[in-house]
Amino acid sequence: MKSLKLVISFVFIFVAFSIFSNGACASSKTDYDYQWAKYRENYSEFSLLKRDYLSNPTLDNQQKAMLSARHSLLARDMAKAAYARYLMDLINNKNTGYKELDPILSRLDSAATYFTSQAQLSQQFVTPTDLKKFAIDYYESFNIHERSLYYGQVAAKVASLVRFQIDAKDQLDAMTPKLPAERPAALQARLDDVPNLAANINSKIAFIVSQIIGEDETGPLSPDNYFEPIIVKIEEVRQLQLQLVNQFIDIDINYVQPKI
Amino acid sequence: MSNQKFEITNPEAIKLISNIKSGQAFAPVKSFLTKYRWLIIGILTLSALFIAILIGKKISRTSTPVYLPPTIDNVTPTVSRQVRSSFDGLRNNIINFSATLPDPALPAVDNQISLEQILIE
Repeated sequence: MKSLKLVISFVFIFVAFSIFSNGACASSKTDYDYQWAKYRENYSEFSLLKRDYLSNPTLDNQQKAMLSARHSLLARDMAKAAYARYLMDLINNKNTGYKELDPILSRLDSAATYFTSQAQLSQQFVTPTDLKKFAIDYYESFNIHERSLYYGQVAAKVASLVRFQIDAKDQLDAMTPKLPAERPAALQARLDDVPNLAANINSKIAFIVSQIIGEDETGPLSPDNYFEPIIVKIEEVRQLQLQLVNQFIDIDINYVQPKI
Repeated sequence: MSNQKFEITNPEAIKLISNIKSGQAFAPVKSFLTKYRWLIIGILTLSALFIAILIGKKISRTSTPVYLPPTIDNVTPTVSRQVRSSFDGLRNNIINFSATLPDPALPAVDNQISLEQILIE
């Protein structure tokens, strides 16, 4: 009976831990997927009703198209807001404490607020003229917030790279006391190389962060032009991190683990 | 030298000779062969096959020189020790990390939803 209680307690703790550790990200991802599905459904209907209205502009067709437009606008901007929150969760869940990403988190928060407010605002229109004015205003103001979504994607990658750095350092710290007191020259050379390699990686990560927010933020962002040089830098960092960890594994196997 | 003529006088022999000459004596054999000709042909064919198999078996048993490759010693596979490190998990995470962007991709949307044919040129 006592052991049964113990097992139940363990299961409960495990379930609670799983829910709290992944719950935030899972819910924002679920919300993001749901909102996009909703947008696709609503926009498909709106396209048909708009075509009917333009070919036959009766009051009835106008009402139907207006209602469908409102549904599409609501789903579109709620989807973008959900996407911004999802990116924030991706960054925050890495638990890096990397302050350089705070401006991006702040931008994503502003974007989520902006798109949510636009979704609410779009529900107040009755006439096509109101809708047209809203669409023009939106088109002139949304770019700066949409850019934040692209910045958030890069920041999420950077958060992963920083997490790798932190994990590598933690594991190195755990391994260091197990190293022999009398260090052979080969081992010492490898250990001496670690700070240089780690500093090189850190400076490359800092460079990527400096490239996230462009100097000129007017106009729409071209994803291909924006991402291409950043992808190259991220891949460079990844390769260096792999080199660093391989070095740690080499030290671990040759100097820490007992020989058989 | 006397020219003695051999004459058969036995009536049974005379009858038998006359039957042989006329072919009447072979009539039962002929009728038997005609009646069972396919059975006889079948038996003969099977016998020929059986004999051929027996001969082939006999030939195959005769010792012919067989050339075998030289005997090779059993190869013992090299046992490599599976070395594991506490850094393996981190290494796998880095290997599986994708540098591709955008990730997750931002789906394309209509940013000019209105009832106008063309909102902004």
